[in-house]
Amino acid sequence: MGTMSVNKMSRLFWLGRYYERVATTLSYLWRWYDRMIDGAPIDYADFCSALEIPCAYESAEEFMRAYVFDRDNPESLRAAADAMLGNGMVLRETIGSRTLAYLELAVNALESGRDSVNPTLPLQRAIDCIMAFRGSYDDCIDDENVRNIIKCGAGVERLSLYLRLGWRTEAVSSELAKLSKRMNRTSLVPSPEALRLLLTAPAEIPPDDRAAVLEAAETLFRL
Amino acid sequence: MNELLNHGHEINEQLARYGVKFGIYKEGKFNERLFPFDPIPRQIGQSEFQALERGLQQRVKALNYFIYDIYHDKRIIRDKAVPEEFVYRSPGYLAQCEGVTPPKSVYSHISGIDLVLGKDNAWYILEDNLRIPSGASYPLIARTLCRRCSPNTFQRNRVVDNRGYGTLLKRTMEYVNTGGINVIFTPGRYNAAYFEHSYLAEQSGAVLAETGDLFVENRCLYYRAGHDPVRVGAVYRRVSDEYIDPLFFEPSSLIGIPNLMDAYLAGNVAVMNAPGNGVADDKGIYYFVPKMISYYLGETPLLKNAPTYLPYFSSDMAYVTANIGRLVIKDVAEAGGYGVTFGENLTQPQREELKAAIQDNPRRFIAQEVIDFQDLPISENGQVVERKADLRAFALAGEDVTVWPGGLTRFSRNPDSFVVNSSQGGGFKDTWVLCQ
Repeated sequence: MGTMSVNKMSRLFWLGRYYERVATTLSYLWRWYDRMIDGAPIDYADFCSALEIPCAYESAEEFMRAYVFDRDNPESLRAAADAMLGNGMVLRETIGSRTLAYLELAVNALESGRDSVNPTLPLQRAIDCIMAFRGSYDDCIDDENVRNIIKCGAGVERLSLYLRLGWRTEAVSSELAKLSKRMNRTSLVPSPEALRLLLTAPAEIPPDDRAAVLEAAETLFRL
Repeated sequence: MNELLNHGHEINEQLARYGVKFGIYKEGKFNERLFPFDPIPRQIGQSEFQALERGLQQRVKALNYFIYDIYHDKRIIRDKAVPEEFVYRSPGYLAQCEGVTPPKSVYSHISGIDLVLGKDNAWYILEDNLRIPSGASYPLIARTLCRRCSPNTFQRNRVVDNRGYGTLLKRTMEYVNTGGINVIFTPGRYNAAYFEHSYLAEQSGAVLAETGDLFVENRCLYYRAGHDPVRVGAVYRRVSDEYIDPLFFEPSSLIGIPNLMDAYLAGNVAVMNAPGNGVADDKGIYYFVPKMISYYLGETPLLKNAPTYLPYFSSDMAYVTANIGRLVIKDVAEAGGYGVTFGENLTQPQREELKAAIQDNPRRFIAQEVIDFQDLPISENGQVVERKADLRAFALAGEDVTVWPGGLTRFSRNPDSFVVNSSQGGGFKDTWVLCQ
């Protein structure tokens, strides 16, 4: 494994978490834009509660605007996208300018959606760019440790979001299995207690146990 | 050339794609801006470049000799070629570097020399930057993107390919490396030139490190790589002298590496550029560089200084006070385009005030004739207009001094201004060295 400081490992891990947060959440909200066309309600208060973020939005429209696009709102998706880019920028020499450019493009797409009458197309561009980033780092970065630390960050975030948002059990189990394989191919050191809990989690996690599994996922790597 | 002009928008889009930005602090808040790029390149013919190259090599060699001399024998002071006040009262002079010889005796590994082209077609040196000169990364990435946006332009124009700056930088680091990895040491994400730090690390294959990533043990510098620290042989620091080591210099510095100087003084790591170089790029010392060239190399300077006056000398003081209205006055303590005052822009009371300040502290100022330098064409809102521009040339010193065939051409976007600095709204363009 190449020369890497703890600081850099932490940034790679959080790069993975933030890009996955943006990509998975955007995909999740995608359906809501469609429902809003027909005037169907969206459960944004439950969504905020599940993510443990304040729900200061007065309407579904305000939620979809401020949560997605308001960079001054520290809980917003836009703020997560800035954090994603911020982590990428300090890793330029590790991930490469070419790969980093996809994060720039994703943030630029989000920025262009802010004042757009139809924000769904810019959001689609943002998701496309993040998908391109995924492919680019997987293809262009030679160091397996680097690639897998990013993937572990993404895996933890996905697990966290799946558990919080009540994703189906198979998806959660599949992420758990991938994460447990990947972490062995990195220099990351997991918390033994959290790892034990995750590895012994049943394939069908009972609803009452989801909080404990979520806690274990969030504390698996203390970076 | 017109083709490149037609692709200006696309090139700027590409620059945004790659995050080619610089940071600026305004009212205590950090903002990042795209560095405005103009697609019309400055062109330098091959023979003109070769002349420039020889002049810059000569200058950088003399400056390296000067720094060595100042921290060792001080012959140039003893021989009264440079007054000692200009050395010991310079904020760039570091007594802690007395007697220290850096690896391979190279002090200024990367020199950024600012020049302008006069209307008499002669190049004039405006300033030597021997501490942490920024700017190579911008034209470096711009060249790649211009080629991508307008390949025909580069098929039709024979331009020296200068995209190997990263390799040149790596070679420069390797030359002085004392055994270990190469590191670019950045103050961090909120530094104005962070893009440059990260891009040069990528291009040169060096590890980009911040303060917490590096530590000194047994007078050696290490990179904190998990459980197995890795020895650092050369550190290209992008942190000013006063902040690089809180145990040697500014104790409140949070961006330095404690005991870095200890490792450096022991000869266990090359610090690029060497601490203490500021003594040679002081605006007051600039006046003496042509003398240094004669003194150390026994040669006639190949490049001219802008006509400069030192109020420190009584004859110059008389000239400066009598002609303040047509001179440019520079405060030697300032940088980045700050502390530059054009006498013609001052009211009479302001001139009197400035004269008094100069008489009160003559060592603090230099005065220069305003060089009538050539304007360059700039594309602005679909029109081509003329603006003031300078050139920062980069000379890298290893076994020999190599001048990078290109450089950062900066221009003023204000038609009435001579100030080209990015921090003051200036833009940049590529610098083509033609094959013929």
